[in-house]
Amino acid sequence: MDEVHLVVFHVGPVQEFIASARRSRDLWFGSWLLSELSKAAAEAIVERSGGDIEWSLIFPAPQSLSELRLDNFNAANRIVARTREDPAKLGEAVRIRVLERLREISDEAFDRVGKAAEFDRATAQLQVDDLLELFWVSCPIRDDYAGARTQAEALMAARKATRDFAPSKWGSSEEKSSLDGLRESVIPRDAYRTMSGEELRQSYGVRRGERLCGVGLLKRHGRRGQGDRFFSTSHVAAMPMLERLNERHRGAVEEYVGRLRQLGIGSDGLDTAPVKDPVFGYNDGHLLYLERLAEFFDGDKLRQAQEALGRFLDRAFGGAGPGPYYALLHADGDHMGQIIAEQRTIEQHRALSRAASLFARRVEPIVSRFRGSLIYAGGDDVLALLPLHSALECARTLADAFREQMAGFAIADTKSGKAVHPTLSVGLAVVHHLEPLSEALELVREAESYAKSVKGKNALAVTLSKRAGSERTVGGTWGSFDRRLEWFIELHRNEEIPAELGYELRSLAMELEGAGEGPDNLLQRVLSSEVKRILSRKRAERGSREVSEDVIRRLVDILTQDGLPVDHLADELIIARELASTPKPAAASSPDASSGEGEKK
Amino acid sequence: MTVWVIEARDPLIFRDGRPFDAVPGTRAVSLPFPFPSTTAGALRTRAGQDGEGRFQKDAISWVKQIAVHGPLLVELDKNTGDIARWLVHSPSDALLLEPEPPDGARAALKRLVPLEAPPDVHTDLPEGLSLVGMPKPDFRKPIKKAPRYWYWEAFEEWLVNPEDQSVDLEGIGHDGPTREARVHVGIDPETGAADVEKGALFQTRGLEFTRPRGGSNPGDAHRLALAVATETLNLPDGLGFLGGERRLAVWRKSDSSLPACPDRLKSHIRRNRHCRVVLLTDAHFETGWRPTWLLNQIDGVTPGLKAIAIGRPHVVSGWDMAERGPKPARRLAPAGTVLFLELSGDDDAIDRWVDRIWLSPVSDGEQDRLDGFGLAALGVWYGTLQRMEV
Repeated sequence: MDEVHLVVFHVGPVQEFIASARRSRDLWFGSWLLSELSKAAAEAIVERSGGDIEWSLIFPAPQSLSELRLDNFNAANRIVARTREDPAKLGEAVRIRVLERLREISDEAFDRVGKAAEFDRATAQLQVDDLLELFWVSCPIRDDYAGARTQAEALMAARKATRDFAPSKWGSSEEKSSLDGLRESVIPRDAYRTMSGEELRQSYGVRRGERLCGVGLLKRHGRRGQGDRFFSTSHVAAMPMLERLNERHRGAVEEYVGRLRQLGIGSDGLDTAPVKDPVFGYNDGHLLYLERLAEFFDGDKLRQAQEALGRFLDRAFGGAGPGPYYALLHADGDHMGQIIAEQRTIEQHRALSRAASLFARRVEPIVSRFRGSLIYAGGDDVLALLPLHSALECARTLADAFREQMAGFAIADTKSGKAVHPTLSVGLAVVHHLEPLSEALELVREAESYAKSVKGKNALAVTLSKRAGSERTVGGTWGSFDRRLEWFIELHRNEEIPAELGYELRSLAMELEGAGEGPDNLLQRVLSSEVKRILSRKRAERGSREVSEDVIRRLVDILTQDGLPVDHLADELIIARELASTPKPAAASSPDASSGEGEKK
Repeated sequence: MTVWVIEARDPLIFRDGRPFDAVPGTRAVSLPFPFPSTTAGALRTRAGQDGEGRFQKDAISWVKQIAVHGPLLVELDKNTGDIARWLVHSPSDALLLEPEPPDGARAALKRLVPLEAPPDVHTDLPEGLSLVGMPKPDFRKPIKKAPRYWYWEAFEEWLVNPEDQSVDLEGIGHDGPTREARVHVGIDPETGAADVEKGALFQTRGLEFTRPRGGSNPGDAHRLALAVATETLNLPDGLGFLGGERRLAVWRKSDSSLPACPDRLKSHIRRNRHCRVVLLTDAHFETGWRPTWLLNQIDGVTPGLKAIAIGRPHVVSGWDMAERGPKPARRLAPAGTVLFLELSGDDDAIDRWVDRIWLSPVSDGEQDRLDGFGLAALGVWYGTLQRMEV
């Protein structure tokens, strides 16, 4: 068959699969697994084309098979390629290869569980096999690549309108998985009666109330090859406090960790972090939270461990505990669909894919520099955990890097005719470290979507989700909104405004609800003078000093000249206060700060 | 059939299969809408109660034979509390796209139809099926706030006269019950204080059966409820539990009936010998996505499946009262699924078939049909595949 076909593969399920995560590890492994399956598909395509990667792969576009196989090369869930083979034969070969890779990864994980304890492996395997959703479409490429791509996109959209599925073959009267409730638990019921909490953790990686199906066991026990360690959400939340540890605290750390050892903490409790802290070592920040110690100790031992933690916090931080919040970051390139549509040749499309891959490769060092933990970076799609104190600056650095990397591509704005270059919109969700990751993911996706809805995109949005259930989101364009938020953070850190100012403005906004928006509105002007009055009688530095004239003038200007509604200003101040609750990062301003942190185990 | 309105007194929780215990960060999350088995179970529990409100164990076998059609979402009349408007799940052959220029209140409604693909394109679609899509692709993005439920009036128009058009989103429907969250504190019974060992805080997320009208006065909200139809006559009205966490709902007999099949639709189907079957509740098919019972010869009509617009399966399990244990997980074709059928049979047979299928369940298993899985509406389809214009 000599005709050349454009083939598009969709590997899924994506969001539902990744989102069913309680822990950061579930999310981290789920993202990796999906990328591995896409990479297996890409590899099969390249091999069947006789190894010509430059000719066969259009998206993603690694330069070599060895680059494709690199641990830090992530592939998205869509593959665009060309083939001279019968597309049906290629499609079947790809399906077989992807299933084989899935089996390989799950076998390895199940072998590991099976060494520690029994589980229903046959059912687990059926559940994992059924996970895969793979669709493909093809059309001939003649002399019009852009036309062929449009046709393939239309075919894929139509293909996805019929999501055929097989009946479940594993259904039984066992309890369902705690992660998503979709499949039966494969851990024997007896285990929960006969094993201690610690034995359950050691054998299955579950807490007492937690049930896992085969897919859940795979996520919990699968290994990502080298560097298979990931920060917990607690560790990231505790990072601003961990950064304050220095040589003077070494004795206190050793005493505390020694006490936990004496009490018999399991191997899953100590030495589990991927990166070595100069003082806290490879220990995870989860050890700094009273409530998380309950995962490693029961009864009296728990009480003793919590007392030891109390003593440690007293010695090291004068009794203060770590903040409970961290930030989840989700970024996505703007205008990428239109940019792709502008690429008239395969070479151009490949160059675009290549630029996106190069950006993705830059993400990990940036996230590490800001003390965060990368979950996924494939093309223009990024997901990462970040400590509160460096989240905003990390988001901005990523947006800058993306703009720089993609500067060679553009579309013409339909109205002005000006060139629009790709930009990065970023969502940050500030969430409690005990919040299930699936919920945090939902919030950050909404935040990212909010950023995308800002006129002209190229925006940041931040959602704050307090444990009590209230959520608020603020957002705006890069360059103005983030700078304003940063100024608010500084004002809070330096106590130049009263801590409760945001809440007070919130109440005012509610009292005068419906007063109208926009700088020219009379009621808005009345509101501004009321804000001015509140600020004039408020005192900064915990009531010891008046708010400076300059700060009052600039805040009022934001309402009157920039036209920001007062409830938005209130929410921005409230969110800034939360972001300011952690000390300024010690090293985020230094580009090489990560080099002294030790390396991945 | 008698229609019953079930109006929630508290936010209701329709659990998915996740076990719920008060461990840190746990949330009892409600599904966006109950499965038919939930309302059928609640109705049968009421039917099997004695005069004192106690369920009679020997009633299990006969109450399981009660056919229950539903649940459907309804808006209630503010004054009478009876059904003012019916709502159904949005159909999968309708796509709402961002209009040009952007307008938060409107959307471009596009119809997905069975397509005739060019001969040199290939896909891995199951054999014998046609692709379902837009004949002339439109790559605008789907709107983010597409209403999950459509008002019956808009839906009926879509059944009879599906056409691309610009639509007012509020006129089409809304997202149904509002999600609400409650945070609970686990209290240690010995100390009377927050149970720190278990992490103290856990959350439940329920469905509030109201819908804001857009004004700031909460008293203006639409009252929403569930409606089911059944032949059973001896059902007591009044309070009862529904869903998880023993939340309360009021049962009332309604003066309304299920929407009837419009005559113009019936004559269309008779004339064209093709139709769409739109699922209003999730259906269970033994082989996964493909129905069996529906494609059997019924009343002299043998339907042939030509195309299907279907999303990812839903998974139902639930609690088996008789076996006192969790039911096996099963995959369901989600509500909104659209099947494109060719009908063979004479005019009378087709009329009988339409009467038989209209707002009746079409799942494969008899018990599933009795439970209300796969309630179906019918719509127009001319049977011709439209050429893809790319």
